[in-house]
Amino acid sequence: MSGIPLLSVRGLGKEFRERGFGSGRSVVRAVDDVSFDIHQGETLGLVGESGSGKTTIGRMIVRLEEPTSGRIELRGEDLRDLSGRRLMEFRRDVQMIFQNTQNAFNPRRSIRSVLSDPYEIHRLAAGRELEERIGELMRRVGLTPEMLDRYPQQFSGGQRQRIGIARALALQPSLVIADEPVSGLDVSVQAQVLNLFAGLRRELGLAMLFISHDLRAVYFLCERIAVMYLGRLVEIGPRRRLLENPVHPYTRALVGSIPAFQPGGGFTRTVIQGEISDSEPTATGCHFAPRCALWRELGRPERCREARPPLSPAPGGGMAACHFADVPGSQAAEFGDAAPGAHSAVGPVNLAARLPGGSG
Amino acid sequence: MTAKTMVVTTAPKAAVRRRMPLRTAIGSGLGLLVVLTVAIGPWVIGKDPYAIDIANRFAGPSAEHWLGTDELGRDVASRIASGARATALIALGAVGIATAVAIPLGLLTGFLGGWVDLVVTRVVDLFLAIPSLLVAIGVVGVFGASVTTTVLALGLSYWPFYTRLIRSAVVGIRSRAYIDAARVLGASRWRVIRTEILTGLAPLVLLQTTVLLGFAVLDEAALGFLGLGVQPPQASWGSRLAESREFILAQPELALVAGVPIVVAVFAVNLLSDALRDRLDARRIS
Ligand SMILES: Nc1ncnc2c1ncn2[C@@H]1O[C@H](COP(=O)(O)OP(=O)(O)O)[C@@H](O)[C@H]1O
Ligand code: SF4
Ligand SMILES: [Mg+2]
Repeated sequence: MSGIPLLSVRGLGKEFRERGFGSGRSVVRAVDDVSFDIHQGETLGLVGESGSGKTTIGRMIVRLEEPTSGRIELRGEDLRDLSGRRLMEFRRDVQMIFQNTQNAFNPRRSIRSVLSDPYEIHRLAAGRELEERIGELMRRVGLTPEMLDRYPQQFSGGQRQRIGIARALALQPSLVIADEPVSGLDVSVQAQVLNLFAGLRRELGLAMLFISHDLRAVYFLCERIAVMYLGRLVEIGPRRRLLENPVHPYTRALVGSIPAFQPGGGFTRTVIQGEISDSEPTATGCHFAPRCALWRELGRPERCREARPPLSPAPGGGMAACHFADVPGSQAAEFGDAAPGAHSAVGPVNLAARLPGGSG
Repeated sequence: MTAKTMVVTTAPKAAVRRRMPLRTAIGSGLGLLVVLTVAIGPWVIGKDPYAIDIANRFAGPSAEHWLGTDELGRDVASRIASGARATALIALGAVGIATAVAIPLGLLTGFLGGWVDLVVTRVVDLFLAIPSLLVAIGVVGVFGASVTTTVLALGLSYWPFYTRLIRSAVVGIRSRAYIDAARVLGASRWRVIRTEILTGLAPLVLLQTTVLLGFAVLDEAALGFLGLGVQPPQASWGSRLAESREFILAQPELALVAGVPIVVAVFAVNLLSDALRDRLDARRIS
């Protein structure tokens, strides 16, 4: 792909300060120097454990949160400069789907009223046309117009998430931020909603930032995957490369923790050892070091403590932030050495079979 | 097996269904009585509440005077009926003032936050620290005792806590994801307040208004009793209480008759607000 990316994030940072007075308030660096692009029609998966800053990134992209540093551009235009009419155009262009379906709808408003919002706010339709378009939206996400007069509490979690998708699609955005849209749902329902996403993406040519902590969902849906660890981007790359030949020790551990990606399909729990560095965010050095198996294996090199590893091109495509990305540690042997063939045969194929439509 | 299950599931429902309307029925019955007294009481009784008849003072109930006469020979029934009007006016006025102040201030502080929130919240705290009776005495001291003053005094003593209540409700609603969803859709602040926040506040306001009405009736009586409320000869339930106080040993039935309407009205309001609260809770849970 070429030309200006649809979305461009550069050096994005966000610090949260505790509320109150005085200088003794602690600062949380939720997002720390994150950069990535999303192209027209492309889906980027954003994974990482809870608290790694995924939601905060999504919220900054839809301007629910103000970045502390860095820049976000949509089609080359800085979001900070938007106001008035341009801001409303931006609202039509970028939408969000929320994780918690219980909280995402006003319990006192019917679905009809909720889905009318986008059309009323942007004066796009009224009367019979509004009625038609809302009904069409409902059908599009697999619900029926007869359900419009119900209230959010009267739907199941999966149905509510479909309504959330409908609300986000009403304005025909070109980019959708989906913040863990299936993680609150029953496992049996997750696959259905993921399929809905896949279908809509194909039909509408949507670009998407798909936030998840489930690598399998991300593999199913996304062309590229970005991995976050404690506010920093540690690896980003095409989905096959990232899952079959993960470069960063954290990504390797993540991939290794998924049964479907294990050669032979054995079930191993998370293999990340060590403590999460909950103390001060390391200003210098690699923030993953306290839990890094490779670092221990290499005899705890000083370099990891002194210099922050920059994102640099990884073999096979994409980038990784590790000083020793090209060192094939025994960790790599654990999951990967004999792997390339085995991986593509066992893992992804299994997955594709389980989640229909997962090819490409 | 099936029959057994049916019995088990229907029994508790029936019990709930029976208990709710009883309380609601009593509450509505008494409430209706009060409303009728206010609306058509003086007309039904057809007596001048100010007509003095010294020769006939402290008369017992009769066909002429349903509830007897007071210390000046005035018809007690018609004084209570016209007093009901003054008291209702005061209660509605006071609650109206408190609501009119609390909703905008609560929205402003709870939704916008920032320094406006900080300043208004401090002022509210300040007012909350002053006993409401002191506020009332201050207002009466400045403007003199009257219906208007009583409305003002009660309204002034209710708004701080009501504002704080609204503010905390708004803060609770503000953190919901549906507020974010509305903002992402491009909704203006005013639209968010209108469609998302006010809809959530409506039940609370409805409930709080009924509760406050009960308080206002009681407080009007208390102010009247202390001589700080509606002044005789004008009739209100509070001033009636004040008038009968002097004769409480010789003619205790006068005080009793003055007190009963207050009890009935407050009881009715409390029953109705309880029923309302249960209804709203039930709707939230289902
Ligand atoms: N509004 C906020 N105020 C203070 N801290 C916050 C706020 N939002 C998020 N954080 C903190 O920022 C970090 C990243 O949070 P989040 O973006 O929600 O991570 P994720 O979505 O990956 O779980 C966490 O440590 C979280 O506690
Ligand atoms: S830079 Fe060092 S500590 Fe950080 S991930 Fe690479 S090897 Fe581990
Ligand atoms: Mg999150």
